[in-house]
Amino acid sequence: MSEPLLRVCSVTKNFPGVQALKGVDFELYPGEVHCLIGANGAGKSTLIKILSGVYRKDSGKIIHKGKEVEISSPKEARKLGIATVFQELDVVPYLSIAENVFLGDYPRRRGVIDYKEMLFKAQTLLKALGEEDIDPSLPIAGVSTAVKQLVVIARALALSAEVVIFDEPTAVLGIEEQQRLFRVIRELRRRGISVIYVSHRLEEIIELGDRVTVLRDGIRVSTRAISETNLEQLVEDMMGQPTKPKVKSELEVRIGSEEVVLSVMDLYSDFTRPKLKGISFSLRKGEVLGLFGFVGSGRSELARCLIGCFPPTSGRILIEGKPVSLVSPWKAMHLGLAMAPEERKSQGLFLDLSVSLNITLPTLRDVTRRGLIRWKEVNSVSEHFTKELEIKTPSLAQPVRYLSGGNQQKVILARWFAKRCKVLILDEPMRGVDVAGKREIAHLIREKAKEGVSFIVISSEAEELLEVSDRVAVMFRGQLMGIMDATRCDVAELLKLASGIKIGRFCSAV
Amino acid sequence: MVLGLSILNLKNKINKRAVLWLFDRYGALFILLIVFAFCSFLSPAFLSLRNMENLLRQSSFIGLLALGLLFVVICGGIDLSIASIFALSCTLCALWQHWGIYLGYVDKLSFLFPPFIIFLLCTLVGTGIGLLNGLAVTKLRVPDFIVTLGTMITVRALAFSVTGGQTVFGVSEETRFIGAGTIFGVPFPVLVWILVTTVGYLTLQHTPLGVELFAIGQSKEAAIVSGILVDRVKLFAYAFSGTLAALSGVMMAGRLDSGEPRVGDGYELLAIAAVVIGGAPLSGGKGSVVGTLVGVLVLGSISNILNLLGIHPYPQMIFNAIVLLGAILLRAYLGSHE
Repeated sequence: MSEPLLRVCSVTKNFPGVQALKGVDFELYPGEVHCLIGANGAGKSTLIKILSGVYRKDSGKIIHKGKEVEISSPKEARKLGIATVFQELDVVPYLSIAENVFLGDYPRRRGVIDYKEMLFKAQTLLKALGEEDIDPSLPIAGVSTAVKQLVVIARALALSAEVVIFDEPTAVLGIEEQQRLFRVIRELRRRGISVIYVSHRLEEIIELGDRVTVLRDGIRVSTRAISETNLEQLVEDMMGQPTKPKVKSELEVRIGSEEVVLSVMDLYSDFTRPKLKGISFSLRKGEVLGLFGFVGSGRSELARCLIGCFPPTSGRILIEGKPVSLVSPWKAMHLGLAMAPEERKSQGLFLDLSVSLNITLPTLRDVTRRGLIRWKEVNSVSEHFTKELEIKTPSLAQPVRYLSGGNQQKVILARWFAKRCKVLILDEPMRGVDVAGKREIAHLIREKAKEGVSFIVISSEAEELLEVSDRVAVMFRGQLMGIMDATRCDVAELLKLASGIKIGRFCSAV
Repeated sequence: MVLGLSILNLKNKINKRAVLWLFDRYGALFILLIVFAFCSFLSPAFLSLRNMENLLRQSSFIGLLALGLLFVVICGGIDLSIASIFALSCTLCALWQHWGIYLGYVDKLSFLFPPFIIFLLCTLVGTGIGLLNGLAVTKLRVPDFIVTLGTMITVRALAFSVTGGQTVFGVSEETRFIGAGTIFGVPFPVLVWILVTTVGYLTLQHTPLGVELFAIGQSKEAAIVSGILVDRVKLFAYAFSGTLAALSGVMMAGRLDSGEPRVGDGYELLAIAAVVIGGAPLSGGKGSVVGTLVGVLVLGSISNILNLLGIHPYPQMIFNAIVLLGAILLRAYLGSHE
């Protein structure tokens, strides 16, 4: 092959407490689709953020067309011809498609924006991508995510980019839209533009890529030609040595309970994105059900549907055998069902309220006398739970803002334990928590499960999930791909299911 | 001098967060002390008992508006319609007391009895408008600023319409009492202000509803997920705000001895200023009854001292604006060190 267009040499990047990249090498040749894969925390997004000028590398070299360059800002990256299509598409909703294509660099005539020229050029660029039906004069707010993505790609063309980086572009797309995107990416390749394609979904990579680089824990494990590799090999590269889940001694005790607390039958919802399609499962008393899936698989949407944030379109939900209609989180809470959301700080906690109030907020209405809160009781409840959950805080009056991630998570758990919830849905409970905190939270979940609380734990970390769950359900594009016994499956199987690849065995839905 | 030095030393020793904490707690009180000191320096008459009574009476009307507004602001909203509700209720209170008005005359003979029913009705009109505000904000999901701006204009127009733009002169004995009378030397509106402030304090600090208001203001998403009936709580806040505005308006009718649709022009801005000076950011989630009380008194003192000094009412607004900007800047300055 010729000289690489872009060469990354032993680049490192530290964040407080983590070394995200420990000396990564990476080469990109002209006109290739180079896929970048790895488990969560492998360093994929850090690497592309360094290439697109969002982060600055700590050490190492980036060589562009044989010359060493310093990409210190997104503007710098653009100058080098590197454009990035992030998951959060940076479009201005009130402007038209054409205006978004040329954002900040409009065609002008005598200092005035030349709208005719702009519309024409935008049309030409979209045509070049094989999209002739898009009217560039439409406001972008009204079009689908897929079209917005195309607009951002067209913008890259307008800047005559030589490298286009995609960050999980299909996470928000449907199947047809995905095929359309692939066609566009192939078109880019045909024009000699290099593509870096980051994705979780292995089957896409096999379909689309020329070469693939696997990252693990901030280093490059391998770079292979797609034609010479297969799924098994890639999964193995991502995971390291084939992992065997640890045998959990208390397992027999846990499976013993046959009492079903929550069962979901054939749940459909058109209000979520992706739509939920025919979800059925049941949850026993004291069971921990893992819910695995990549971003965009619908796992968080399922959780939100279960606590009444999104209404289901059809299907039945039974709590302890009784059919219920969950219309609001308030209703769900009173039926014993609650959630700790993924965005802990913005959606779970009240940062400036005290630890004590954060724990007892839903319980306050139960501890009043003549309308006034009995603070003694509030304090004793929150003291009890801070002790039991070992929440480290200087005092109960401390605003929860100043607690560490792990302790904040425990505060949310304490909130629902205090409300005596029967089913708790935890969305990414371990994210942003240090190692010790993770272990404590996992331990806590197991302890409470023994006492009869049922959990649904959502995570995109397969290993973590196998560790803490009894069974793991895997989602893919709004569907439940299967429910696996946590002791009898491994990370690779979960990854395959989550990529939409059916495997021979899985336990029944119940 | 010694005190000054020790404060300086203290400032060096204790960390920034302690200063912030002190300001967060007692910042408004601190401003009030400065304003009081300054005012008594400018005019010795300021601290006289008579003037203090005057100050409190003047402040009590805005005080009620600001207290209601505080509830809305804490849960992250805004209510611009309070001054209009205040005017409507003032006008209705006088209007409804005279059946004779429909026959073309107003005098003692046309008083309707009992007036308390009329007070209650006028206050309920405020509650009703507040509920409409709340419903539009929560159910129709119209931005609160727009909704209450609309109500502000409509309700003010309504106040003018019901009397055809005229002032209704003359209200009953009882009405004059609740507006201008005293009990043991304390003006009646001040007593109402104290009572309502106490109730407001208890509600905010010691009931689940109060805590939920703060929670909603800090994060609406988190409040929903935490099983708080966000819409219902917000509805309450708007209704409360409307009720207090109307209550204040009823007493104003007594104080003016007339129903005046022009009354309270710009009071919503004064109330907002008082709430903000009292430490409640308009982004919601914070605020206190004591702070708002102090904010009202600070603004009241300024207008009072300017009156004592013989300065016209219109330039007075400029001073109010300066204090408001000063308070916000000070808060922003201290906040930037966080």
